[in-house]
Amino acid sequence: MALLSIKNLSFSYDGHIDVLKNVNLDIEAGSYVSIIGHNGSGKSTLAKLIVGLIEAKRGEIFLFDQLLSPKTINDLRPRLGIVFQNPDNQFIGATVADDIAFGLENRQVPHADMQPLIDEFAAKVKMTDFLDKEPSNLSGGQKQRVAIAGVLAMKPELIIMDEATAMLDPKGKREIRDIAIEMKKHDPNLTIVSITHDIEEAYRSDEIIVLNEGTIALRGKPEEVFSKRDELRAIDLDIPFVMKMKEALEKEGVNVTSAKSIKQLAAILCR
Amino acid sequence: MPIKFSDVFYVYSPKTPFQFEALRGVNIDIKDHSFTAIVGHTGSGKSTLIQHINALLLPTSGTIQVDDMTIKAKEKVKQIKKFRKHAGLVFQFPEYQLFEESIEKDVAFGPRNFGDDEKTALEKAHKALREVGIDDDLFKRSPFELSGGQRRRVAIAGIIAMEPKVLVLDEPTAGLDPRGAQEMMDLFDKIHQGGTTVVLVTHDMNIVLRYASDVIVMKDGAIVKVTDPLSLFEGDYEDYNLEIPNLYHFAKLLKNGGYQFDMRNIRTIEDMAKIVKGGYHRG
Amino acid sequence: MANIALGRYVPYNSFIHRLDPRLKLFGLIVLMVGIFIKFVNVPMNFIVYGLIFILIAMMMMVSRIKFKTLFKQLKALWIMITFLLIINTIVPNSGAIAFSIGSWNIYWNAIFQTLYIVIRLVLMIALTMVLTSTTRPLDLTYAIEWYLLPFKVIRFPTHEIAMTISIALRFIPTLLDETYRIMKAQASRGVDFVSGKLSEKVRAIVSLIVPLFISAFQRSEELANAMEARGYNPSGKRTRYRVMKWRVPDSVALLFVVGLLSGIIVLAALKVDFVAIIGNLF
Repeated sequence: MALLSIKNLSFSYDGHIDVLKNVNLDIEAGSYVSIIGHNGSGKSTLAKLIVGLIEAKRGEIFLFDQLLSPKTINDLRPRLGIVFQNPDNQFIGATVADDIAFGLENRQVPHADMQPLIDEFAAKVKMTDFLDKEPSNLSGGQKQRVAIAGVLAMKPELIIMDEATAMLDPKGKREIRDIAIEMKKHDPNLTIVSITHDIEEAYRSDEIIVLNEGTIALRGKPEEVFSKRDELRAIDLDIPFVMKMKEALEKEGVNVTSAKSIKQLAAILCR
Repeated sequence: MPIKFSDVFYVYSPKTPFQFEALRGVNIDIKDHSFTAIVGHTGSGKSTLIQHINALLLPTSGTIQVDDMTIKAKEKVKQIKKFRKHAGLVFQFPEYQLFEESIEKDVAFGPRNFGDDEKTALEKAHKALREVGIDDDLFKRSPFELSGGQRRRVAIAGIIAMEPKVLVLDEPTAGLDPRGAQEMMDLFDKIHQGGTTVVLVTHDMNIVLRYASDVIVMKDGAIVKVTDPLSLFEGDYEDYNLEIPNLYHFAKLLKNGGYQFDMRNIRTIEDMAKIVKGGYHRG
Repeated sequence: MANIALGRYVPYNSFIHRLDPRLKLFGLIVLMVGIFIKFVNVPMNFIVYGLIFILIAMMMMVSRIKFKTLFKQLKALWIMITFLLIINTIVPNSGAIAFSIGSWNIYWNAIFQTLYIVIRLVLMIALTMVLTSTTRPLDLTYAIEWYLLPFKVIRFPTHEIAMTISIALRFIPTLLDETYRIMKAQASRGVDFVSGKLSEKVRAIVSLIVPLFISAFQRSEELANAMEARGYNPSGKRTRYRVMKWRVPDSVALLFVVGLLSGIIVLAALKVDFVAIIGNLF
């Protein structure tokens, strides 16, 4: 069975309007999946359902081959990690070290093991020099890095990033995007589900799921999904620059199919 | 009349261990009716700068001229309210400032503070709300019943209702999805066309390229470049810690690869495609 | 940048900074008790207060706390002190009369009582300042939690309270920043937080408080989600990253504090009079 399997999931906050409508989704272990869609498409609701913060009453979510329910959530949670959007509202500790330790304390990691783990994961996100700094002295990107360190320290099998870069400046966005790629490189078995607006980030993932008004509108590899320009436009979603450029070129009679990045495209055109 | 900064310095927490010089000798002119973008790395002083335009912050030294009003360092400012009305300032994530029981009352709050009676203020509020695309049937609703994007538009309406001559915006598209960001920028474009001077602090160079008439680049509290967007991206902008707009990154690569064209002719992807076509079959 | 300098933690590596926060808290309470003990006569009271003050001054010097900071704290209270002075001296008392203003009699007793109150206040403030300047707020929270542990027997939620306090402390700078931001946003809409009629001031405050509260509620919800997602179980077992280690200097300090209090109690109980003793020597 897939690592994460969602069957016939529907959800409503107020009992009238469904925010998610009969969603069916399988995510294989080791993949890096981006879920894109507008604000209001149901992305965040989906994230919260997957990590058990809200209960799915209609439909089922299977995680690690087990049905997710209030009974099983405590056993399943240690294998998941989630990074939220607001850098401040997930920073609990008084300092960077304390915040990374928070998850360790919850899992009853022995005191003696804590410092080495904190040091290891702070280093992974390049925050070693900031271990005793308070959150009020950190940038958004730095706080998000600490959140990631805290999540990684629990050694999860699945990490969900719920618009983790939405509130960051371009530099912060880049930092987090790069860390996500590094996480995957370092641990090919890690599964990452990233909910994002960032088209450039989505373009780098293995698979894209497009959510629109509670249902899956499109699904596939980035090239496939972004080539469905008309459908994306119909739901007001943007496509990566490279694809827009290729489309404009095509209109002028210049056909370039293979390029995946700006550099590649330029190289082809300069031959 | 243009907004003019002369040798403006601003120091946070002077005489304390936290002392920080946020503005160092700033000299700028913001032209009337321009769409001026202020760009620069985080911490370069952009937010500090714009807070001087409506006298939220007063300079530690130097002089600021806004319309026919002057602010001189260390002198008391007469009629601060005039500054607040002249230049409407919208902070980042403005949806957090809503507090009234209904949207129309919240938007009317600004006009009321500047002396309008309730009826006039509500009229202005309705007008502003329609301008930002909020339906009439939402007017009496509580701001907290709306979505984040709608709340942001209400907050912006709250400033527009004050009928400022200058609209100052600090990263108005932060956190919005691409569609939301596009709608927001089109709104400001419309307001600009209507005669308002727009000053926009942003990190998004694509926005600068598309909408701005002038760009002011800041670095470490000082002004390092004042120009128009096209000239900026044509020149050496690597030192300024700015994100290169995709289009210009691509254009530069092509230029380096032998294509010959004037960067000034490239404002959109279609422009670029035409250039490529023209030179594609060259040897 | 908020400047809550008064009583704020000042990082430094002094002997007192390094003491266990539990010891410091205990010391504070013990010395506070000592301050309130009454001695045999007026000069004795002043002598003991003087000795305590010297002790506190030494602690301040060791911890590099500036006297200027203490004055600032006291300055803030001068109104209350003056008020106390006046009230106490006006109320009719007994004993010898110091002087009279018209038909008002000012009694020596009243003057001394007031002075005692003022001196005790100064000593308490100075002592508290030594504690808060040398102890991280979080460490203080741990100390309080430790003292409340026995109450766990009666199901008192010690851990939850300690967690609540530590989160509150962590968010103080963040909330302060948010307050300034909202104030600036509303000021940009013409709100005057300083002058204006009462009704305007009320609207000004409302425009500040409502957004703050709404944002605080949203923040707590997101924080609770984050804590839950990270496996937090308030009633469950947790291990600890930061542990307090009791060391030799702490035992020494404990003995000193207990000895000091004992000494003070003995002086009071035995009605020892230094002035008389010194007088008898000559």
